[in-house]
Amino acid sequence: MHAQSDSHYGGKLPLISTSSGIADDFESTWRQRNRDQLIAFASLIPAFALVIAVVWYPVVQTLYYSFTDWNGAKANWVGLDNYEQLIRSDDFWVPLRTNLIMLLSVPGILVISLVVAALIFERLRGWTVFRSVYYIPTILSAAVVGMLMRVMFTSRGAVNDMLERIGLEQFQQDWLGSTRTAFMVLIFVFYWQTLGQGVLIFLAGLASIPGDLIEAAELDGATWFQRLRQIVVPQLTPAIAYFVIINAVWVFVGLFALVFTVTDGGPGYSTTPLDLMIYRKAFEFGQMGYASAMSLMLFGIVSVISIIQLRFFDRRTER
Amino acid sequence: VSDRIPESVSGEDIACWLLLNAEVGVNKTLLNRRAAIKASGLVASALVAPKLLPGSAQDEVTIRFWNGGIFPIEDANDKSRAKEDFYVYKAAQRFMDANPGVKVEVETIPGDTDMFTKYRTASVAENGPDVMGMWSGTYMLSLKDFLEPLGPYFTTEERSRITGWEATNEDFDPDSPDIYGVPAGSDGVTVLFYDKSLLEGAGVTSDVEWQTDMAGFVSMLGQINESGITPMTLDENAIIWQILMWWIGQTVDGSVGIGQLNTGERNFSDPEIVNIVSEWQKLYGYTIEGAETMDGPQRAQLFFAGEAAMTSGGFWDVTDFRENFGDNLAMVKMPNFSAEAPIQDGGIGGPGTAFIVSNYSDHKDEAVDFIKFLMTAEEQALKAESGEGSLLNVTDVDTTEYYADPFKQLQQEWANEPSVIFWADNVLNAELTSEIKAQSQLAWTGEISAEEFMQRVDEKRDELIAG
Repeated sequence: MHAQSDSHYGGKLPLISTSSGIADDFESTWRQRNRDQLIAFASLIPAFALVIAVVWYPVVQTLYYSFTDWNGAKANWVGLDNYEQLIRSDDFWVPLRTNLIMLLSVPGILVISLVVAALIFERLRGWTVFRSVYYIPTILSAAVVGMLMRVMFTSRGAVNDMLERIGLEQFQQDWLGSTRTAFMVLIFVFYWQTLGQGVLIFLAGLASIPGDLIEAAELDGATWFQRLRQIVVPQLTPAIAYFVIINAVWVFVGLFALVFTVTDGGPGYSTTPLDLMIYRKAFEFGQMGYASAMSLMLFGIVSVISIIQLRFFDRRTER
Repeated sequence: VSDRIPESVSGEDIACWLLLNAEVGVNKTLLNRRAAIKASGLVASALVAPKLLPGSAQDEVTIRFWNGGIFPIEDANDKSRAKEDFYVYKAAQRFMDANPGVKVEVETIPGDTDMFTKYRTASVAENGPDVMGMWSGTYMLSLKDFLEPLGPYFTTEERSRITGWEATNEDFDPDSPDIYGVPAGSDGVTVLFYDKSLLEGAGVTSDVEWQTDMAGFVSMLGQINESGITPMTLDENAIIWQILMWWIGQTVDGSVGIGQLNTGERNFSDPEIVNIVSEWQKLYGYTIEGAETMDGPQRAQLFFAGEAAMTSGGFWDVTDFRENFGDNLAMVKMPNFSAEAPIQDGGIGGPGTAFIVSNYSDHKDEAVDFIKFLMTAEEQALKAESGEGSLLNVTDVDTTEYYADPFKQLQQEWANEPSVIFWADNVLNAELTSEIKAQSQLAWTGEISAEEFMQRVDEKRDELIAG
């Protein structure tokens, strides 16, 4: 570099002008960098302001209101009263039970989605039709699905009608009238709507598994289930982690539309999840301060569950 | 100057004229600053002045009326009917004709408890209606912080010709000055409707025998059941607010007793009330399954389809039921739970709806004027003639002239009887109402016992009182 530079300047090193040039270059680069940074920061400001306005401002406001008895019109400071009442009352624990029951159903849909994805991946006859059929419920709104299911599962609905037609009258139920069957309906709808999403995620994951790995296992005599358990599942850990985390979070914060339209939280409050109870307390009974405290409790629960899952899957991935 | 400006000329017209002239002035004097300032001042004055001028277009006031399901805007038997043909739209038009410069925008929202959610959320943002028709009693009073006290707007004379004021104040006192609404009509009394031919086919020929007590009623239901017909189809509200609460209400001496249950002076878990609930649970076996989650229209369809012999309802069902059953339709009061109960031969009902004015409205006077207009004798007569909306609650209109269906006339008569108990859900705390409804679903199907149901309601009531 130096030799080239020497020859370029004909053996005379323009020391002063060079150092001045470096200083100029440095200043110019520094200015350019500053300008770039300014532009970058300026570009971020709208998004940042939007996040503050629509996310953090409401969060901080909710935190404040959780210490008041705000009813939409008036707010008095009540300290920790809302939280104390929440801990003592069924308003929190009964809905939490609903969320936990739905959380327990997540592994079921995980297994079903994995098996269906693996079958479609192996191009079972009619796989293109199945792929579309499984995905269609995912693109329907929860409210539409909920209304459809409510009509189907009423005592004179399509499900009981079908059971009668095929000679299974003994299985006819008042599906939405008892806690046990109402949960069965909710879990069925949850599975029906989530299957497409799971299959899509796992198909994407399966596409990234080297084909020769599966072929080698086949040559070694591994059965379909062995290949699924020993090769596919470990290779799909990131996809499984993603699927489990988003659905675990969803059963805490996304059940509202489904439950509201299918069971309306009933019978009693037995299928009411936390988000529906928050809605009822805030908007039906005007206990917005109390509902704010419930929201923050829910926020805490979802955060803890997400952190636990992320750490669990991080360790699995590291291994 | 205002006297010389025609009414058809708006503020914007004047401002434009001044701007054009000012522009000419500025050009002529090559940006004469003084002229420009003068022009600006004139433009500003022109924009403000019309608001002070009587009769100009700027004066138009728009009031938003939320119809919380108290006036129908759909005809189940004629879906092609335009909304302008319904009473509420015609009444709004008549009000606008009588009050130039006031525009009424009618918006209909569902006539169930969702109306309170909508009103509350809109009111928090202060963009709710100026005036609204909603359920009265505790439903309405739970929104008191958003309601304009209406006592000062009404004279004693104006109040004296309207009945049902007790449902619009916290003391349940018809003469209270602290009213937050104006009773919008009477709901008559909830009753049982049945298909005469089905009951006759089952050998039930008398209306009277099975109305004395619960034992007679259950026996009659059994008789219908044996004929191969499901005796009743009920909905989620009927099972609790029309049937169970009538039996509890007649036993605890009406609204006063229900009020005591609300305040804790009496307990729901008293053996007398638990016994009523136990007997009420027996109705499950005589009713089409799913009543605890069924809505009103669905139970009406099952009744029309002949899937059940009887159903409960009120005056609001008469038109549709008559259309479907003709002279085969029968209407009787709810059976008594016991011949010894202090109140006999009545039912649940009363002034279940009221008009309110939002306290954040910019047009409270116009909103109150609209309410007063709807309650005039002329408008009430037109409402009765249309057959739409609730029964009348004014003393200066003779309904016999207007109701063609004898059942509506009968409802109007029954509504004035002392045996009518005001809607329990309009008396009880709104959250307690919700609790009772939720727990009733479990009790109706037998998932919880009568004792457990009532204990849970007591616990909730105590929790609300303590809170």
